Order: sequence, then C-alpha cells, then structure tokens
Amino acid sequence: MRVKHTVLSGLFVITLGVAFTLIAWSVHNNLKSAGLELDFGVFWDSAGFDVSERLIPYDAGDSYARVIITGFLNTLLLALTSIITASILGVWVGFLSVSSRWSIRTLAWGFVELLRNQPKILVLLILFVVMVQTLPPVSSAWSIGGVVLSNRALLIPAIPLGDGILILGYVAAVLVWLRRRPHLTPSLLWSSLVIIAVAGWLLLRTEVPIDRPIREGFDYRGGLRISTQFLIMLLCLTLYHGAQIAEVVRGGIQAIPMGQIDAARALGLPPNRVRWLIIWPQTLRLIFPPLSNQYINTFKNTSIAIAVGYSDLMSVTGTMINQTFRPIEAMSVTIGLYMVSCLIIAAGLNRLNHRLNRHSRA
Amino acid sequence: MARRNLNWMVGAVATLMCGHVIAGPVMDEVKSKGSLVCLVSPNAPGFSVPDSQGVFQGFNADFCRMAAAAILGDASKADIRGVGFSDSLKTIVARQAHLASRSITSTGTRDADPGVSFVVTSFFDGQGFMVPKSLGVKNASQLNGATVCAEEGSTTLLNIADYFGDRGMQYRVENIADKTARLAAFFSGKCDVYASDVTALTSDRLLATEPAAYQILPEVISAEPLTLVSQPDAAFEKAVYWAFQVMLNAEQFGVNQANVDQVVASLATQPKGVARLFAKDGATADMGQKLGLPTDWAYQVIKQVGNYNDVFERHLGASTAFGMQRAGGVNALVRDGGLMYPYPIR
Repeated sequence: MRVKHTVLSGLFVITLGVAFTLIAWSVHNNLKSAGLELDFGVFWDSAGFDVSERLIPYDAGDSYARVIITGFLNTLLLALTSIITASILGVWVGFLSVSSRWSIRTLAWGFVELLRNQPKILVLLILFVVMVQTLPPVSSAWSIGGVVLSNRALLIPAIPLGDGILILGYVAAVLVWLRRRPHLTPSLLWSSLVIIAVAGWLLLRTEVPIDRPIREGFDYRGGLRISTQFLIMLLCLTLYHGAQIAEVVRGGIQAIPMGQIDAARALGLPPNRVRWLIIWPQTLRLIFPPLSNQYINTFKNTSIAIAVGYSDLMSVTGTMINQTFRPIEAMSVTIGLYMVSCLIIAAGLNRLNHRLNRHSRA
Repeated sequence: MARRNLNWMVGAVATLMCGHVIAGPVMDEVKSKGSLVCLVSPNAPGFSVPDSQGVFQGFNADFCRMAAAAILGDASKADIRGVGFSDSLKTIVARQAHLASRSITSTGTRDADPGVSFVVTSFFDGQGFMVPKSLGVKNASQLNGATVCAEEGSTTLLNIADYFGDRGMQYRVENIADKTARLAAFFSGKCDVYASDVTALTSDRLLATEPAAYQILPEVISAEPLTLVSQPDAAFEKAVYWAFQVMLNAEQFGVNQANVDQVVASLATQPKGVARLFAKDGATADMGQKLGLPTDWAYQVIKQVGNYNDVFERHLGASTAFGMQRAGGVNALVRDGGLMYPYPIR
C-alpha cells in the first residue's frame, strides 16, 4: 500500500514537473519568435508615477521594484485589518443568527443574504459613491477634538513614534502588572489609577509634541492620515466577508449537539458563559478549515481596490504593464507574491488548527 | 472586472496553448470572419457612447466603421466593443481584437513593443486640468498641494508626476480605475483637480450636474497624439492608414458624405485628384487590388462614414453639446493651420 502510494505520488510530481516545463518552454519560444525576451532588469527602471498611499518612502523617481513593494505592503495592511474586522463582525452576526429571538435572527439573516447575493465590486462602488458624496469636502470637514474627517481622509493627531512606543510600553506594563493580581481590590485599583495619572502628568510635562492635522492650502497637513478609499475598502471587505464568515460560524454552532448546551444550562451557567465556555471553543475547532479559506479569499479580494484608487499590488503592477508592456515579468512577480502570501497564511492557520484539535483527537 | 479577467484568461490560454506563434495576417482573419473587432472606450461622450440600441456612436467609433467600410465594404461589419483603457492594449496583444480606436497615446516605448502597431493619429490632444470654479484657481502653477484624480494605468499619471516634480510642487494622486468612482470623487470634491486629455475633460465636464461650475485650465502639459492601434500586420495597417488618408483627401477636395454620389457621377468634370480617389481605374482602385480591398473602398469610406470633417462635426463640432472649434486648432487640415496633412494618393 505504502509503495503504491509512493509510486503514485512520484508519478504525479513528475507529470506536474513535465507539464510546467512544457508550458515554460512554450511561453519562452512564443515570446522569442514574437521578438520578446524575458527581461527582469525592467524592475530597476524608474517607475515615473505616484501612488495614492505608501507605508514606506516612495516617489515617482524610484524603481518599479520599489513601487511593487509599496503596493504589496498596502495590500498586506488592507488584508490583515480586513481579516480581523471581518472575523469580529462574522462571529457576532453568526451568534445573532442562532438567537432565540425571531427578530434578531431575521435581521442577521437579512444582512447575510443581502451581502452574499451581490457582486463585491458592486458593493464597493455603491459604498464609494455614497461615502464620497455623504462625507463633507475638505472645505467643510468635520473636526472633533483634533480628529478631522472629510471625503478625502480621516486625520488623527499623531504622537511621534518614539514617544508612542514609550507610552504603549508603559500601558502594557501596567496591564501586565494588574493581570498578575487575580482579585482587583479597590485599594489596588485606586493606587494604579494614581500611578497612571502621575505618569500621564509627567508625560504632559515633558510636552510630547503631538502632530495635529492643520488646514493648509488645498488640504490638511500632518497627523496620521487614513484615506477614505482605505476605509471604504475595509468596510466593503468587512461587510462582505463578515457575512460569509457569519454563515460559517452559524453552521459550526448548529453542529454542536444540543445536549452540550442543555447540560451547561442544567449546571446553571448564564447564557453568556454557555456561549463562550461551551459553544465557542467547540465551534472554533469545527469551523477552522472553512474559516482559513475565507481568510485567503479576503486576501485575494483586496485586489478590487484598483477600482477606487487604493494603490494595492494589482494597481501598481497594472500601471507598470501599461507603461512597459512587460506583462509576463510583472504578472509572474505578482502571482508569486499573492501565492507566497496565501501559502504563508494557509500554513500558519493549519498549524493553529493542529494545535486546536490536538486535545480532541483521542 | 469580469471582462478584465476574461481577457486575461483568454490571453494567457492563447499564449500557453499554441505551440508556435500564429504570425498569420490579421487581414485574412477579418475578411474570412466578415467582421472587424474594434475596441472603444465604454463611456466617452462624443467619442464613443452606446446609443439606445446598444451600438457605439461617436468620433472614435466612426474610425472603426472607416476600417470596416474600407476592408469589408460595409461599415456595419465593425464589431465595436467598449473596453477600459488598460484592457484594450492587453486585448490587442492577446490577439482578441483587430483594432482599437480609443484615446491611446502613441509613445516611443509603446510603439517599440512588437505586440501592437500604432497606425495613424486620428486626433491630436494634450493633457490638461479641470477644476471647480469655486476653487478660485486660474492656472496650473497655483496647484501646489492639490489632490489630483486621474485614470489608473494611463500616461496621465506619468505626465502629472513630471509636471509637479519638475516644478518642485507637491500633490497627492487619486489613481482610480473605475470611471464612475473617479467622476464621483472629482464632483464630490474628494479631488481638487481632474487630469486627463483636454478632449476627455470637455466631454466629462458634461457629466456634471452643473457643467458651468467647472473650468478647464489653460495649460496643456503634454503631447497626446491619439492613435489607432492594431495588431501588427502590414496589409491591415496599410488599409487603415490609407482609409484615413482618403478621409483627409476627400475633405481637401470638398468631397463629403452628402455630395459623394453627385461627385462620382460627374468625375469627368472634377479635378484630377478627385478622379484618382474615386474613378474605377483611379489610384485607389489600384491600391485596393494590391491590398486586397474592394475596388470601390474609397467611395465606401466616404459614402458610409464621411470625410474627416463630417465625422468631427457630427460628434464634436459646433452643432453638438461639445461645441469644439476645429478651425485654427491642431486637428484642422494643414491648409487651415492644423496638423492634418493629407498624403498624396496617386
């Protein structure tokens, strides 16, 4: 049996290898006879165009390689934030959809069906057009406590990176210290609040220079800038994949035997604890594989961002192809980046899945 | 989006499947299929917009018809399809369309690509800026710090980068691929400026609820020779090139869609140049034989589509909503001070 398995696997790998070589050889020959030679040197040419947002310094004079990294980082940022928000929404709606109340169940069902039966790009364009027309233009931007919102961007007063790390470290230290004490007595709470207040006062005394958004010329300058197209993409992917994840979660919950829930109730556990101590851990194990699939889909679906001007990986490689006419080079790098990212996500989630299921496998 | 994916798939499959490149003439394919697949912009008022029957009408669409009239003798055999900018060139390279008559700028590096041929410039354009009048901007040098909307993937992005970079001016770009989203962004003030070819700005301005609230700045920051693009094929390119020259020559000699029948009926009394264009033993008949076109291809082009001026006035001229002045502009004939130079047909 094992020998047969090995032979079959070997044959499969060889067939795959031969097929791939044939395809590569054919592409190479076709290109050659059309007078095109593969040339990856093109990535070091100057790109000459700007992007709507960047996490690393980039300007039009930089290389195509750099603009591709810039776009890829934008894709990563959007994918990771969307996966987190879609999960939160999905789990919440999933629980709502098994609620004992008819009205809540119907609401959750309506939300899921509304989003599940629309194409993503339509959802995105509707959100985009409605948002840019609803939010005020820069000239009449909403400004609350230093936070500025217009149809261009959400601007938040920012603390310099160094001070930010210091403050975060301090808050984390306080939290860890509090967590070490299982029973929070009033005196402990008061003393910690006093420490926080004193530390806050000390910080203010040293005058952390806060970078506030200021109106200047056509736009606001300064502050942490989150573009509306990022927010709209985030909203779109959260709603769309949130609805899909909600269905996965609902399926998982409904697969838990009623006896489990009855037993928990019989023990006198309140509904909230039944949910998080009995239902959720078992549901998570069941839904992990389909959930992983949703995450990979979310990652790939960030590519619709090109429609609304979020400079993601597809957007920058698209422009690169139009300027250089080097589709094979640019697309192979794009394919590689998407593939590697998705494989890494899949591998990470698989490991997590194994750890989750270790105890349940007898 | 679906079409984008489909094109890619078709292109990829075509590249992967065939063992060798089919260098076969595009001309033969057009004639054997009896239809000429031609790509235009899906929604560019004046240039290409579907009418109530879903048939594309406009300045650019008429050059698709010109090619079909010259090669197949029937302008209605142009299979005109609306495709976004980025996808048009990919579709041509993937050999899924014969011709693209949309606002494609001929540039050196693009023409150097063996997958496409730039045949003849049908319109001389240049890139400009449109702003809301309420912004109080009178010229482009006042745009430091502005947010600029432009089509994703186009040369517009590079021209803006050059213009602002060369002058040490700051700007932010909104590179939006979807036209609905892009116009919504501009008209709602998400961008201060809309950058595109001046002609595109002229037509897009009409899509605003209040076109008079917007103005096009005087600066034209780039040369944009908008050119017909085909699959590489010498015979096909020559047919398209000379069909265009027939339209210019006809205008030069005062022959238009309305009077062409009358002119052809009285060729003996016409100037010799006119006879060379339309006579059964004229220069065009000889060319037609060598290029494999119908004998009366020049007549068919003028009869079914018109001369250059007919096409311009029909879709963009003074009697249309665009009210473009051709006289004195770059798209007038050379004798009227423009760049349209009728090459001799003899």
